[in-house]
Amino acid sequence: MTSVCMYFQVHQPFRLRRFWPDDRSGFFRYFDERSNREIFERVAEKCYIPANRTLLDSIDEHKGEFRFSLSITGTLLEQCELWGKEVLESFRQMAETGAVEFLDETFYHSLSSLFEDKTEFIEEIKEHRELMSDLLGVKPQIFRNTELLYNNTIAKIASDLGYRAILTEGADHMLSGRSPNLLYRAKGSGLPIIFRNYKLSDDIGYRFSSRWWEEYPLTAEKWALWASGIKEDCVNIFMDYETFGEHQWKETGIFSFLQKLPGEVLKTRLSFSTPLELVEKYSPVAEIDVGDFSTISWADMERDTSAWLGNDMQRRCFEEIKLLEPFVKKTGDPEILRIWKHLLTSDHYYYMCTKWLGDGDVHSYFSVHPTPFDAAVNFMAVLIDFKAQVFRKLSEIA
Amino acid sequence: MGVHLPYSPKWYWPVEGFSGVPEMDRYFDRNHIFSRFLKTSRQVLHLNDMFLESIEKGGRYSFDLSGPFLEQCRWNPELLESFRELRESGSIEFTGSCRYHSLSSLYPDLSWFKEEVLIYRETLRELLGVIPKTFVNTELLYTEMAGSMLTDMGFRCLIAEGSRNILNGYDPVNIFENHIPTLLRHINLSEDLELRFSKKDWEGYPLIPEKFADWIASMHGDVLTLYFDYTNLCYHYRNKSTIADFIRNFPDALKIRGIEMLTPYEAVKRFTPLRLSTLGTEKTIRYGMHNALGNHAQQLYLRELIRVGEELSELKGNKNYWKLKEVFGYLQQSEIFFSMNSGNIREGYERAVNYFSILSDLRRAVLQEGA
Repeated sequence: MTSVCMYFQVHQPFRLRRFWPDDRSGFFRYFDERSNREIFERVAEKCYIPANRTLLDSIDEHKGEFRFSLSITGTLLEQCELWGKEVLESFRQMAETGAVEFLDETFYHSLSSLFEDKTEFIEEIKEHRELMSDLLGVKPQIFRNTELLYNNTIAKIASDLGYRAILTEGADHMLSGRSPNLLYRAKGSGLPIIFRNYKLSDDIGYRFSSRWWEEYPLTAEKWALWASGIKEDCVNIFMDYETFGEHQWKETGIFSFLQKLPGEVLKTRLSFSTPLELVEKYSPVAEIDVGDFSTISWADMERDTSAWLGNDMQRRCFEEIKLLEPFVKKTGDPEILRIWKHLLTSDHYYYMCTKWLGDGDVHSYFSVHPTPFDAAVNFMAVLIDFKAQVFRKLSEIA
Repeated sequence: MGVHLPYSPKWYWPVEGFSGVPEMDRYFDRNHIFSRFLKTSRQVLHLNDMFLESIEKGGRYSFDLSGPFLEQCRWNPELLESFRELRESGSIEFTGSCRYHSLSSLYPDLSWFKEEVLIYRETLRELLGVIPKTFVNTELLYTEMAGSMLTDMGFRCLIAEGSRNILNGYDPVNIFENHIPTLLRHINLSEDLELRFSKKDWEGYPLIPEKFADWIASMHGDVLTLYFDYTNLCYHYRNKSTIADFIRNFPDALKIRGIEMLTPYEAVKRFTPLRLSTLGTEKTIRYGMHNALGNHAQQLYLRELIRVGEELSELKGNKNYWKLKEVFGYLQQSEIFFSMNSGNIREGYERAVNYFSILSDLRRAVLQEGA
């Protein structure tokens, strides 16, 4: 029997404020308390609360046969604690159903996996693991990296940390003709890899409400029919959780699609499995080799690192933050450390992306900055100030 | 005439920073600067010779050698010798300027400005043996505060941009005064020489000394100030235009029409200044400065620069103070500001990201020095 494995990514960054050096101090000297709160509250109302409700109802209705997984970033959970206890509570309810598997990732949705030195990356995974245990009482067994960034080394680290599998994008240029609907194993570590079926995922996440699409309007029945055409082991459907109600507005009918989907899928020969269940059910069929300089991800058409590190400004900003690491750590100051870690969040770099054609629309949709250039200058303005704070602190304790 | 070559920052990579006291080479591309200087200095030498000929025919001029240019002149003794020869003619006045071609006259604390003016004055005395009486601020900026400070420092004359907001309806054909007698540049006529001289589609083309002298003769007033960029004359010269003939014959053309050539300080001594109330407001500054300080990146850069300056001031007496101060000095150049707003936003802001990176490393070094 073929399994449908659904995983939703739940994330909000702490966006930077339009920086001007003034007398504010602490975390909110750099991060925008008001706009982050407003965005969180809007997304909670439009997406998290209704989508959680819909999924919880489906779990009840299908008595354990509808199963899926969630990966929630530390930054989003921090925002829930600050501004949305109700959202946090409904994630807890999901954990209690036993039908939802939670994944681990970096606490900060960060790009730390791209550092040559992986100490910080490992630290951030452990921070996330601890948070999942503290807030939701779960111990994830499966790892997914920020934006599904993947290479052999990242898989090796996940494997060393005891994870049973890793999720990534079923990028064509890497699969080169092989099917994403089977499990593979990573070169070096042998860790099982679960690949995203981007065609069937994007039918929902990206094309659902597109009137230019010949298949518009998409019904749960039609989608289940397509999925049931797959005769291999698994159909892996990964997408942003914000698809429901935020990227695809309520008016598009996305919630009724979501509500009908489990029933329609279960009517076919398909069943639902979580990533851990996939690993227990199926065996990897071949080895996959992705070197450190061919890192893949699920972003944009290129499905590589170019959405965050594609231009000169992005590389400069990333370089600055990376080189600051030993100094930040030397201060031993928890607040400085926390700010630095949040500056590694991939979204800051995404806002600076200048790949205009096609994907540019997506980038500007997510950004609070008028242009990528403003985003970069603003990031650097924060950096000058923050770097000075780090070195001032070091000279105090010297 | 202004002679200026900036000391351009390079594309700096953060990995070059994060430790030690920065040398100039960490942030500036000296090879590029040096090769540009060599090219320009050959042209300046030619031009200087032309002006010597013009002087023999009665021409009188003044030179505003920018601080960064004057420092670069040390690389070419022949060039310094050529300027000394011009000085010895007795028909040239050298003016005072800012050491780093900065916008420091706009900072809240004018002590940076004052120091730059003093350093420049000392360098000019050392290299050319003159002490300037006239001051020309970076970009011909005028600010009231700077005006009164310059008087106290012994300057007797100022040249500033003849912007409409300053002229307030007057023509720039007199000496104006608030704290200090001020000559305001005649923008149109200066730009005829500076920008339009070689343009074949310009209605004034070809510009010959007689025609230009006629235009001047038709104006009524005491004194008319022409100020232009020397390197632009080099450009006309390179284009094989008639600029050499023009320079040579201009004094005669004026003399025939009863117009005398004067240096700025001579003009100030001769004519009675007119009070101009617009020179007295705090806001008085030339038009066009939005190109230097108009966008967010520029405002941020200025703000950070001032903060680094404040932190640096507390290090006087430290071992590496002068070294850091020299680098800081060059990071104030007005070109850095202008380049963040030239071309499209992409070019300007990519440069800004680079400059911010540089400034953040200097600030790191300053803070470490103070530890």
